[in-house]
Amino acid sequence: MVKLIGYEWRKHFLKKSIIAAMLLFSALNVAKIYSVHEGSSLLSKNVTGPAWKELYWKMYEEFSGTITDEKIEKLMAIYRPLEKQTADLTASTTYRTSNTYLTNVYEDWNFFRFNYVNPMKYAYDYKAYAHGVVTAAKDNMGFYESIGNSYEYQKNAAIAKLFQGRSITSFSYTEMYKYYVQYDFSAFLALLICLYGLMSVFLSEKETEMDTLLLTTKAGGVKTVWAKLMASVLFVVGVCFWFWIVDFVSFSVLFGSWDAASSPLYVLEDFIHASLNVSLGQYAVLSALVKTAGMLVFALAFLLISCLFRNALIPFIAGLFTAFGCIYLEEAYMGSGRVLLKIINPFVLVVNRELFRKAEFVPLMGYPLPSYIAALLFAVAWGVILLCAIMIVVRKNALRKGGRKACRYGCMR
Amino acid sequence: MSLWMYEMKKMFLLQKGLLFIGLYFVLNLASMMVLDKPANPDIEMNASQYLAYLNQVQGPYSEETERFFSDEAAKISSAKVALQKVTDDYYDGNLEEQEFLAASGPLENILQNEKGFQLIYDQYTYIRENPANRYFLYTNGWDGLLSNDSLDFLWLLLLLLLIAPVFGFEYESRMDALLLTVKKGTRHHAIYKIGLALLTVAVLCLLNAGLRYGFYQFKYGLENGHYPLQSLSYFGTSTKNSTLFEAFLWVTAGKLFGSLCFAILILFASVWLKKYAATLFSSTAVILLPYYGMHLESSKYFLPGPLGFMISTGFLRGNEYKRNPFKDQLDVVFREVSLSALSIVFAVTLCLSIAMLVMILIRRTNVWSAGKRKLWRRASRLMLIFCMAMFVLSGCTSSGRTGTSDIYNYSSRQSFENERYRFYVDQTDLKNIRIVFEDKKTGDKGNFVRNPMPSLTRVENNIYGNGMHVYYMKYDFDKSGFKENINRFSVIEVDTTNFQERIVFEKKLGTGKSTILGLVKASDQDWKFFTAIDSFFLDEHSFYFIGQGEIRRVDRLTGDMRVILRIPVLRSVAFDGRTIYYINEKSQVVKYDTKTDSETVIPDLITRDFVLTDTELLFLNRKDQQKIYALDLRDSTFRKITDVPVQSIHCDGQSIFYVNKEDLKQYRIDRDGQNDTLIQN
Repeated sequence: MVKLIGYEWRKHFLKKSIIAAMLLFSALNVAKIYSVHEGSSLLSKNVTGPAWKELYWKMYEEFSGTITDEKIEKLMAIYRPLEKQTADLTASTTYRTSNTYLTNVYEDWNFFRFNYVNPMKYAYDYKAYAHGVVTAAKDNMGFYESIGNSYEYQKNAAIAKLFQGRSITSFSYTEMYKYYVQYDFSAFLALLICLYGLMSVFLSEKETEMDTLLLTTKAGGVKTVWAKLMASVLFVVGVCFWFWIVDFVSFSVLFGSWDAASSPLYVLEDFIHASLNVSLGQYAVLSALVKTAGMLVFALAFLLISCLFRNALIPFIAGLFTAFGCIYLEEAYMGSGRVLLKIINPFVLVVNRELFRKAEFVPLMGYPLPSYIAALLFAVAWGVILLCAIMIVVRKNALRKGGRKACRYGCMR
Repeated sequence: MSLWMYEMKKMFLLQKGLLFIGLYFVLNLASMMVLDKPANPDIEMNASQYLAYLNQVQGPYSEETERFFSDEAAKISSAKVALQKVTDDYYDGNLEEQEFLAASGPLENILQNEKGFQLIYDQYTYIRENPANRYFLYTNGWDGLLSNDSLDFLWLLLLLLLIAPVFGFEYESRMDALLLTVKKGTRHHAIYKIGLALLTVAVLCLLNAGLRYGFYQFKYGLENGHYPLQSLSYFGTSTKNSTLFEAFLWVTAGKLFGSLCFAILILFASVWLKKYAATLFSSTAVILLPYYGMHLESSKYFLPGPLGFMISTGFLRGNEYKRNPFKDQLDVVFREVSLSALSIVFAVTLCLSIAMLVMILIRRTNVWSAGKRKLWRRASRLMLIFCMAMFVLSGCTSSGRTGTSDIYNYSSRQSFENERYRFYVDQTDLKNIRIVFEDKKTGDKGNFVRNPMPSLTRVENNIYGNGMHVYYMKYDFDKSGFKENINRFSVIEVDTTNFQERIVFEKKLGTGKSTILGLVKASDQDWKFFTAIDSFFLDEHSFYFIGQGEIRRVDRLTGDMRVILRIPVLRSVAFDGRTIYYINEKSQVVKYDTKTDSETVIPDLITRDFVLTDTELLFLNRKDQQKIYALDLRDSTFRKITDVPVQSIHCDGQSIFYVNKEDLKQYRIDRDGQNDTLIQN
């Protein structure tokens, strides 16, 4: 079987065109990440100029690491005068006076506000906020218990447990992760390559009319189908991981740091209500795995569509249409409180920040199931349905061609 | 049979080209009908008022126009004051009815079009920036036709479906080698194929352009095509001299050229790669990757290839900037494509296309092939499996709830009472103003909104109640950048038997940076309206939102929104489940039937404040020194409740609370006029 998988893998995926596409798309991906950095990072020369970057890393040595009262006082000693001077917008904008770090006092104020004061304040206040969430959730538990709403009781119990003991103790450079978790272009590239690569898996034999011949061989029936499926899975996993690694390395190199890997996920302000207590580094790994799971569902869908036709023309178009349909629906429900509509779409696994940025639940027989588990279950359900459909289609084909003869032969005997 | 006919038969019948073309036009038309929203929905919702003004200023800006706007603005503001004065005089007995009607009629006519004036004034402020090439015109039609650079995804798929098999069909069946044995099967036949493919694309592209033109002409109207292109704000900074109609022709020509180049690219890829999958993949990648991958919107127009031309509106746009929030400078968000750059891009694209054509002819190919198998039976069986799966996965819920509605009063939008609880906005702690509920039996008080994670959410202090269901509004934010942005507006239903929440209405307001490919775009107009909502109420079929001096109705099923009432000065509004009561400019109470969309003025009732109860309309009688009166809604009889002039009134159950106009103290009185007691000094 392993040999068969290896053979199928080499036959369908070890192609010059796929390797060329991988290389070209990887280069495009890096270029796109570069444009994200240049267009969004507070330390890029396009957004703020080179001086911010230089000053940031100089100050970072002083303020990074464990947040202490001493560091806060030191930072506020720099920031408070700036805040006062800029409060009524009448401070001088004279270029590079002796008491400014950057071009003028306003730029200094913006620099410290966005790079140090706001993130450090958020980190410092988070413990109290999380405590407030726990208190409110426990209060809710008492309330819902009194009115007999057991679903909300359990949901609030889960929230209280999730937020219990949360705090951010250290300050680190998180901008890289901020944009990394929002980056989807590589997933789109991987999706296109998978669509292309998977088209030939079931069609290559059909196009050359060899599918009938295949059924006459020893391992030509179900065994070959499984080998094809396993090879496809390996291909999709390989493509995905290649792109996720390119993403992570490119973001780390271009943003200049992945220091925050050990910081908790909720250090990102958009993830203030993160549904998991994991570090950013762990999240990067988890996200890669979940994204790959989402891509596998799409891969099965592409394979199923290709099984239905004799050439790649309509399957490719239909696959592309399906992918865009799912992306459209996912965009329409991103940020929505209608959790079920959001998670039923397998593309939610690919943009999994939607699952992990907020603790959301869906009711399952009165029990609050975290949305990310529900989304994974839905993806598994989609996967099983698609797999069954593929097996039905392929087996039907085998039965029709081989089965009738076998039946006739059996009857004659 | 000639080669042309044979190839046409193959393309349109054997390869089901006609079916795909028909499907494309049906889907395209359906998507335009369903998804097209006016660029400025306010204009459509206030069409008559807007057009009344537009007809007076249409065309170029002039000093006369300038005078018209200043005169009209003055006229409207003085009309407002004058109408108020005339109304006051009439109700104070200083004017006879005839005199009042004679004086108020023209003033009302002026004020009738106030919203229209606001819309045309917005246009005026845009035109005034550069009056030389910006004209007054109705913009929704031309904006819909020209002001977007969206890639027509269905058109892309159609071209792939039609063009890829032109040569790919023979390669698929390995019959291309036989071509050499046919008399006219070499270059001659390839030219026929290419000619037919390009001709088909050209005809379809022109038909498509005609369809779009016809659709916008029919839906909005495309008058004044000779006005300058810069009259549309989308092209406001453009330096290109063109009229709107010329711009449409240029865009169509660009799309035609882009589509032909794309067709040539597909033909070339199919001849070169000889595989459907590789052809489709490479052709799609050439279009989609730059379209979604380019950071700067204008970059794709500097890239030689079919993409820029297929969305050619960008060639006509001007430089656009946005202010850098960190430094005192403007950052480019769109860089204008100069004529020289356009010429170079065009020339390079043309040369590439010609080179590809030559390459195709060098590798000329041809042969006919056999038919396809029908797989519909198998597909239908699979469809059944999918339908079942969808049913299992999605589940289904319904919440049909009919019956009587509780009364909504605008003045009581912060409170509601049902059998068990009283809900109100607790303002005792100014740092923590919140909606609370109070158990009527036990007096227990608690937070009504029980979300334990309040960050990135803002709950508005307005509620609407109907029986055991109480509704509130909230905004959700995202902080994917360094600033918080409103992402969604929602109306939440709370079943107060168990305080279970359910989202009944949602509107996406933010696009933000966190979208995947930017396929779903939120409207600026929606953002403006939904972030300025004062209050709301609802019935089984619709939501009603009050804001910006309007009441808008949103259909629960379709999401279609329209203005049903304009109330410039919002004093009192009430809703009983079917009828909306409001006060017009003459201080009369008007009943608006939401089922029939008809209005009726309640006779002999003049007021500026009223409260609707289940059987009566309590009001401060303007004709009797603002004393509280009650109108019985069943027999239309009036009843006086207080003998003192009143400043303001609100009702809570059987009690009326009012502020005495003479001593400015708060009193409580029963609805039957008994037990008048002072409650607050």
